[in-house]
Amino acid sequence: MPLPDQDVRGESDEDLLSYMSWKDHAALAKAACNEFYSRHVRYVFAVIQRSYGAALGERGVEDMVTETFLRVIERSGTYKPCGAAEADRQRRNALAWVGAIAKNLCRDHFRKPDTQLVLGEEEWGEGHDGRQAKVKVDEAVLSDDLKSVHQAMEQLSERDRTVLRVTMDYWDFGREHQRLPNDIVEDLARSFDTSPENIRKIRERAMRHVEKHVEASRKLRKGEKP
Amino acid sequence: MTKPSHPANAPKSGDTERLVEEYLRRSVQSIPQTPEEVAAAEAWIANQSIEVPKRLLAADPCVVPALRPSARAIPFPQAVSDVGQGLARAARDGKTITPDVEERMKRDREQKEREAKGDK
Repeated sequence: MPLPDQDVRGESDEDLLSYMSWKDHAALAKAACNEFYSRHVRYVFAVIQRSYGAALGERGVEDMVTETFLRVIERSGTYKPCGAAEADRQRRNALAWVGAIAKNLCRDHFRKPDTQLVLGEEEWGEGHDGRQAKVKVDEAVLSDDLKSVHQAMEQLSERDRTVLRVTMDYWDFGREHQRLPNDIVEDLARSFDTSPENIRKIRERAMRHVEKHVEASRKLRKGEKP
Repeated sequence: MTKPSHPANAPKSGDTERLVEEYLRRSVQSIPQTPEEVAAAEAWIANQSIEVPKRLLAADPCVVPALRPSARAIPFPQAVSDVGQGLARAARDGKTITPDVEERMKRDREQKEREAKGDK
């Protein structure tokens, strides 16, 4: 264990998380917090911006990064080390834990009554095109079906993609033939400043678009007419 | 009446959601929650020019509540008067606090508490 005035830059991520929870060694806990933050603020910012940037907006992403680190500091004592000696594995395990915290905070945020998501100034009508900001994706890591999903998502407006993206976080993969629970849709509708019917409509239309695109691509690969 | 058959090439019910979810994970559009997903995200980030906002880079994580939009910074009271200077000196030197200094401390504390609650 380093003394409070010692340098913690050489400590592993898992040790830093442990020191962060040592309330009776305030100086060491603070040094560990600072080191953990400076090591990972870029990563946490990048993944939150990539996942929720369109919904949260620039300032919202910054606030969410801040909230995430606050919660990490608060909950650091509950982190379970992965048991591996390699620094890479420890770091990835720690960041997966940080990611779970960030994702939960985002889900909670979208359901708060005073949340206002950023979706541009467009109307929410059926014929609305929205903006077409592209998401850069390395297609080499995608299977044929996933490439089709990517192409279909690219064709969606930013608004429709954002609704699909955010509502996917509430999808329960353990259940068949489900629809999004009413309370979740109502909360999301409030955050998106629209009606629950509109949220469902946008989501269903976007999902149907993806489904048709995947189906057409499968036919093309088999040499059939789409 | 017979049910319309599901096209052979169409994803089955729930499959599209699974495909979308897998797509979001693999393309790092979903926050990584496993070490494998973190590794993929790190590889993706390594090829990006990500500019972290200055506000985040300058933050001290132990005082990050000050960054919250709702938070208001409460400046540390400045010792401007003789009593204030006496208070500061007493605090520095660890000397006995005189009754007038103690009274000033009480007033200052009450004033700051009122300000923190939004009263003026």
